[in-house]
Amino acid sequence: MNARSQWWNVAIFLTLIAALAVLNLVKPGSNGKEIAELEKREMQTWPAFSLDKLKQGQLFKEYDNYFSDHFVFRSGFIELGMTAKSYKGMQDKDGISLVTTVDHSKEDLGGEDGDGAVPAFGQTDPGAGPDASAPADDAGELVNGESSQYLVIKDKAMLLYQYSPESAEAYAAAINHLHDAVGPDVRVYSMLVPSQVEFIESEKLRKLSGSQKEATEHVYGLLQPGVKGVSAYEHIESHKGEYVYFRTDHHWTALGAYYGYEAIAEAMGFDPVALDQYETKDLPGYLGTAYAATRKPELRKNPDTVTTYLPTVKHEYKVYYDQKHGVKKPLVEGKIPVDGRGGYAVFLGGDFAMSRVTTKVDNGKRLMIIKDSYANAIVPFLLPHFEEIELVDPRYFKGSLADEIKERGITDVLFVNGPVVTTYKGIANMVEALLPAEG
Amino acid sequence: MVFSSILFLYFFFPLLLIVYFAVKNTKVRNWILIVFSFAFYAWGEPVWVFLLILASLLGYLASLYIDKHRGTRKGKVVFVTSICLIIGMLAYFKYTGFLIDNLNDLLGLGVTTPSIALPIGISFFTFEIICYMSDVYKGVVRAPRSPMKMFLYVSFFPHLIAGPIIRFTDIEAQMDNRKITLSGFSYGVNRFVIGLGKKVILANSVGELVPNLIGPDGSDSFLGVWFGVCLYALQIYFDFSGYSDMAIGLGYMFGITLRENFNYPYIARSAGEFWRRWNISLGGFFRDYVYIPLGGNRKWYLRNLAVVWFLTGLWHGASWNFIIWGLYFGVLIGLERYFLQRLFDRLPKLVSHLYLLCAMLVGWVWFYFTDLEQALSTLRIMFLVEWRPLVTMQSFYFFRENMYLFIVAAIASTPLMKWLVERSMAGRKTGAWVSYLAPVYNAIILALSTTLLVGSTYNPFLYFRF
Repeated sequence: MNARSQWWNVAIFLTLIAALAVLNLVKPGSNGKEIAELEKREMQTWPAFSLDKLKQGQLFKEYDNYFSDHFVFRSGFIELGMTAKSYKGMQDKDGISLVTTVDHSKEDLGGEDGDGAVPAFGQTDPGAGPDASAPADDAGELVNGESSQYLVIKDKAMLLYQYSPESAEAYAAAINHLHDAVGPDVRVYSMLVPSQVEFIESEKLRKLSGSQKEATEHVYGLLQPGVKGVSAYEHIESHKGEYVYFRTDHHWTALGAYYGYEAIAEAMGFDPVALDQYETKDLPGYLGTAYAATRKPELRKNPDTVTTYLPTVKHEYKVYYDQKHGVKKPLVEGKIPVDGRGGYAVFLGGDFAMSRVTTKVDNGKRLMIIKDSYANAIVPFLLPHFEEIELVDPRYFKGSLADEIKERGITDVLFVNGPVVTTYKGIANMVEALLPAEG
Repeated sequence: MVFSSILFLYFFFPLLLIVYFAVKNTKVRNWILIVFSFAFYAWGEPVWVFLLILASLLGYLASLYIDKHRGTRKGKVVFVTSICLIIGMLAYFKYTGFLIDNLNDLLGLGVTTPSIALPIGISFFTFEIICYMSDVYKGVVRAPRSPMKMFLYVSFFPHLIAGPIIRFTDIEAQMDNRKITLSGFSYGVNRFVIGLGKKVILANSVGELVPNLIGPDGSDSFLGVWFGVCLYALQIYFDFSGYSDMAIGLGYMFGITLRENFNYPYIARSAGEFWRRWNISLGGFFRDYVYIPLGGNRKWYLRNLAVVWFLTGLWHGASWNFIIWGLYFGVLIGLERYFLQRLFDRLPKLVSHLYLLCAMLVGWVWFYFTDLEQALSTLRIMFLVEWRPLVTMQSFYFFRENMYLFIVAAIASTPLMKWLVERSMAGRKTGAWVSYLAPVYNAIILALSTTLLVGSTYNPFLYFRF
């Protein structure tokens, strides 16, 4: 290189570095809304100094996070990065792709444990190796491995499903265990809700996932006599051509949930209220978790519409954050929340340790639903059939299920879970933790 | 802190440049580098930065004493004691847990394994201190009066946490007297940007795919597993060599030349040659400070070979798979010396290339899995002892959707680009073109790396499965 081109080389490099560095100091980005909506967390605020945090290395990590959360043009860079990544390989002409999303939040950029070779390896710490099994984190939130895979078909994105028979068995055992604990007077039901990936047209693509039918049959087959399996699978399957799943989110729609409700009615022996009895409200413009994970432009251009069916029965809905003091909330919200809970949170406001709906039905039937978020869209349909519905989310609930059932005079217990329970054993373990020790 | 982070690129680095070039005096500049280096280290290890300082001080004081009492019994005692202290420090932080685990398994002691955090870069800076004290002991260098040189040698941030492992003699003269030229700085920019691209664009993207193809969540097809292992080989090469490139580039920008660490290892034709091209500074350390003092290949060859490769493996991590990985290379190098090399010399070059590629990939399988059972299972699939379908939908998708990345990465691991650039520079017209394209190329790589780095802070993850 001659001196002139060397001068240009240095000048361009330093200009780029300086430009972003200065811009970032004088005009840091405010990405709060996007971080809340797509990443479901709060933007890192300026960390308060504390000697403890400094010693644990937490303080500098928070400064790191602050810097990256506030980085200028952050969302533009993210968008651009996603586009750049789509040039990694050949694009399918039918708009089909597999997107692997890696959980960077668990990678330590500093590589504190990864000394030996290169900082970012992380290999040299036996615990951080790729073969370390995936445990639940302290809060018991998820955690299944470092990456998840989404199948994108044009403007639809869905999580692939991995069947784990041991998890299915643990889940069935937990239900049976509850049945033993509450005795024969309480009726126990289990409903497994399949996810969208189960009903893809193309056999070839369907084979990318395990069979949720097999998983459901396996769980139901293991339930004790007296515990009834609810055949949501068949009801959804016969309506699979309708808008029963969101295209940009991993949940089902309220319409899908209605077919689930029909299955419940069949199992419990009551007549479902016809769909046309409901007044509906459409909330357009929802981009859900599958969009957040894949950031595909095809999805962004075609957001989902959340349709809500307004409850016809007088009711009161209270959320118990601490299991003692209830806070009143709307059962079905009228707008897509903008605080990062996502569009699916219009149903019941999201997931809480415990919440309770009371109605004026006065038929003596009291239902407890032990659930994950798949149950939320069903609850509004169940109001006409129970005088009380108590919702328990084993991921957050602390206490004894059997005591709770006794105290509230619960007559029916219904488990409602999405496909995660037959993928990941952690949920079954969380239910077990709320039951009296076996033996 | 690491170089491939936006905090480094757009805060630490520009700040250091401003402060550094605001003063002219070399001594002051040295202290600026030291202070920033400690800050760089403290960012990841706010507590262990004192260990770094303590270890450097120990090396400094011991060397002063050794220098003064060279050739006497006193000098030797201090030398041996301080070497033991440094190695003991490394052993305590890195190997205590591993040792106790093994003793438990062997003797059934049932002692609880303490969880000792590993300070970043301890494997690198302890080795540098050992180098330095040995060189002083042998009389290769005189111990300097001022601790400044010791601090700068050990903690100079570009090589501090991931090498290259430098020798005091490498940079001794540059500490007193160095000249920063336009061409040196420009070369530093080239090296830094290329290293950044290797790490962020190639290593990170390729690495994301690996767990989907091998290990408990992958391993569903024969070709998929081979593809996964190839991707891992690329990841580890670009990760490590990219880091070394960035270190060398930064060194140039501040006027300090660090030694080279990689020289296209995957074009080697034997395990011996591979190790003369891979992590050269580590191989050099073990050669000069372990192998040759033990007697090299003149005396006790097999023992020396075994010791060096056992230690090389162990250095990479406190786990049996690394030891197996090291000894595996020791065995290959021994076999090459006894007969393989002579055999390959008579066969077409292609054979020895294929041999090394295959041997290297098998090696990386050992390196990747700390769980030996999984390493074995992966090897069984690769060599058809355990049957898997040739290819599955999933592995096919992974291949197709990352095909271009894979091809670019594979080409980038060979000297083809370098050869092309050198050829073009030789021509007058093409030379001018390349000269002016280089700044543009660097700008694009920097922009793309920044984009991907910011993108990697995006984590749409928690709560997803529900």
